[in-house]
Amino acid sequence: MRRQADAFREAGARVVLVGLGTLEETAAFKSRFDVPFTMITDPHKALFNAFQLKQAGTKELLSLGMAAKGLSAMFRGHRIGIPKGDVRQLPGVFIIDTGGRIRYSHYARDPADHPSAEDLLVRVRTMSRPHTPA
Amino acid sequence: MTIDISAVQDQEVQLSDGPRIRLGQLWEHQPLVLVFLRHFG
Repeated sequence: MRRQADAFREAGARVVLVGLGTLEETAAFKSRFDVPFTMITDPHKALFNAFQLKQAGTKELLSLGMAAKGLSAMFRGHRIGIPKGDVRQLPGVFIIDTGGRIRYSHYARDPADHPSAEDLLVRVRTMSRPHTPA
Repeated sequence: MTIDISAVQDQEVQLSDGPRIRLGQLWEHQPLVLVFLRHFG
C-alpha cells in the first residue's frame, strides 16, 4: 500500500492505519518503514473491538498456509520482527464514505489475509464515479 | 457483522504524531480507507 500512496491520494481517499503498538512504538514503526499514511495507536484495542475484529485461533496462527505466507514474505525481503500488541489479533480493512457509511469491509481469516492495494483502489475509484442510470 | 458507525464516529483516537481527534473527522471531507494491522518492531 505504501507504493500506492499517491494513487489513493489521486483517487480522493485518505488512508489511515490502526496499529496495536504504543505511541512510541507506532511512531518508531512509521519512521523505520517510512509509512506515508496517518497512523492511529490503539494499544488497548478500543477501535479493534469497536469494529468487531476478532482474534485468531491456534489453528489460524500455526497453519501451514501461514508458515508459507511468512516464508514468502521473507523471500520478498520483508523482515520479521517481534509483533507489537496482541499477536492473536486479526487485521481488517474498512472503506467509509463521507456520509459515514461503511462501503466495504474485510475481516481477515488469518493474520496474513489482506486485500490487495489494487483491489482497494478499484473500490475507492468505483465509489467516486458518478452513478449513471441505465 | 453490523457496526454502529454513529457510536464509533465519536470515539476519540490518538494519532501517532500526537493529536487526539474524533474518529469521524477522518471521513468528513473524503472517503477513508481504514486499515487495521499488526505491526512489528
